Amino acid sequence: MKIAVCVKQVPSDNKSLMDKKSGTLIRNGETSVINPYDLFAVEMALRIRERVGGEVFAFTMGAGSAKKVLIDSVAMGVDGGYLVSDLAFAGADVFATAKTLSEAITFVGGFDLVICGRQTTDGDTGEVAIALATHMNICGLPFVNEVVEIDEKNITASCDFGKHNAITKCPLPAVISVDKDCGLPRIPSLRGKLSAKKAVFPVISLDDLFDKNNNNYGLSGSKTSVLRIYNTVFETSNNIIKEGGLEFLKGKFESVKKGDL
Amino acid sequence: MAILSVDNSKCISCGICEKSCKFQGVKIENKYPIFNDNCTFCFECITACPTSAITVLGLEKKEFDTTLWSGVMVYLEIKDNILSEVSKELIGKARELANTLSEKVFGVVINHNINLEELKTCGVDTVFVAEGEQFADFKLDLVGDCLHSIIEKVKPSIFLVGATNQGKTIVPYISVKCETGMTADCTSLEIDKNGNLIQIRPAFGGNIMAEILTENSRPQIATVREKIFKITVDVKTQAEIVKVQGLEVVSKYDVLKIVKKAVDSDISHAKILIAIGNGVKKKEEIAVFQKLADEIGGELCSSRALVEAGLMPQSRQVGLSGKAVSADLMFAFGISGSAQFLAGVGGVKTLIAINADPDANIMTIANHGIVADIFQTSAEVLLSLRKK
Repeated sequence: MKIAVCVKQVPSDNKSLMDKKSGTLIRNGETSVINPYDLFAVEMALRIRERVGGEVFAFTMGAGSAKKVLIDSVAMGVDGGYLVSDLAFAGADVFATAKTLSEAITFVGGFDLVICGRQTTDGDTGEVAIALATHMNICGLPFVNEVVEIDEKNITASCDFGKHNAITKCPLPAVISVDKDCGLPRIPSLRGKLSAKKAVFPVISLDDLFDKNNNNYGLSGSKTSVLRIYNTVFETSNNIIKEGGLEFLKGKFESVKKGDL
Repeated sequence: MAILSVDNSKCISCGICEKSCKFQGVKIENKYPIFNDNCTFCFECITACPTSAITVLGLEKKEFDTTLWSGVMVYLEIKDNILSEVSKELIGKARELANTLSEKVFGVVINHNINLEELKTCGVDTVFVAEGEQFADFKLDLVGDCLHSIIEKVKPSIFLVGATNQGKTIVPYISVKCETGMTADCTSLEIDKNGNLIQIRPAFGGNIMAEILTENSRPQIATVREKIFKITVDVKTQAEIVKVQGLEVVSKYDVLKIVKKAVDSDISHAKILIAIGNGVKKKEEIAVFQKLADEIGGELCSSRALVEAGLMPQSRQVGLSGKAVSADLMFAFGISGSAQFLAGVGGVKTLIAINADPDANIMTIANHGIVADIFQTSAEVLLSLRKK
């Protein structure tokens, strides 16, 4: 089975990565990391490979520096990766991102399954996987928390729809987005790290794609545009209690316990 | 192809663009900014530039006749045979937007066993109903293609969908089929002077707000989470019901089984919440807050950081990528208050924040901000509750 797993480089400054032992932020002087949700996608891909055999390739769309997340993926055990990179791809919204990935995955070809993380920590939309499936005109299973069965022809997975899971079967090729419940991502092995160092990642640029019209990619191919961005402004509060906060809090908790909100 | 361009006559070489960039996409070289391939067109530098020296060049204006599209359509999601809360909330917002535009409000429902009486008074002008056994279980291609054909016929200018997992599955499907834009998890929706929908949401990790437009395609599709908008039902409106034939499509999907989840107490409906944030770093530190919550009959919830660190389950995350809550009372321990988190607490009546940092965002929006060490405070409050 040939599996593609989509990974993204995201800024690390939203305090999402914590060293659980020391309680400090993992920075390593790096400002960008692999999207934490994508680690679960990589893990899922590796588990499926262990079950049915085959190969796993990581795809990332971004600047040259995004190669780092391909290295991370190979260190975890992925067989290889492609860097989807071209100035024409920059500034893509969900629609254009899914279009680009769909063209890139089709260019490499032969994939039975495409796996994405449920969302990214920077874009936070959770919509790329199904948009990708729709661009590729194949089935998409969203928010998968377990792959129940997979063979050459079909995949059966449990999809999280809030109050229930829907055990859904569809034909391959298909795209799935995986949730965090699907299994803890593995730590890269020493051997994995060594092969990641040696790995060479082909670059897929606009010229490689079937649709070479640069108006269909990046900012130009996006259907949404950012009118403006602004920092939320907070005025100074008059309600700050510096002294006697503990007594205030004790009183509040006691009255709530008595049923008085 | 789009590029960022600098007007050197306006540039004062202050370097603010370089500092504002989260992606190291711009560097000052020979006094002026040079953009490299790290640039993601997030426009932070454009906003930050004090002299408006940076502009986007090379964006082709696409011709699209938006005047053929009119009305605000709401996807009506049915849960346990009744209209979901988020659908009702969206109807209220749709009416407000439609009034500004002097246009109509449409509902669309695709399901099995639909209660038409409820739909007649749900507050929309027209409901398009596609009913049939084939829709009993959610199958993306059946629902999506039926919805797509309804949208192509009705041509609504705006399409609002609840940001449930079902909504988040339908929207990208419809958006790609209609070749239009989608904006996820909006926290505010407005109409600009040209009649376009301004879709506002936290962006880039949640500390910045972005205003997003879908100018050159229709419908303008936005998803909104539950509890972001209030329910305002317009009971005077009697909706016209228009039945739509489902398309004759054989689904590629086969739903083998529906597994009801164990009922986890839902934080979005809890009256009392104790929220913990980045101030909490280790699993063993959580216990005291759980005990406090138990003492007062509240539920424990958290900001995103703890969920991503694996310390709290996703179902207990408050915020843009978690749940919006509407508690009467929330105690927020060690939460800084990013826009991402604040997007979820708009419905909280009284917010009491406990934080060591008096300058944390949360302190300014909280009804009471208490400057204190969260661990010492929580331990002492717990002790005093148990003494009595």
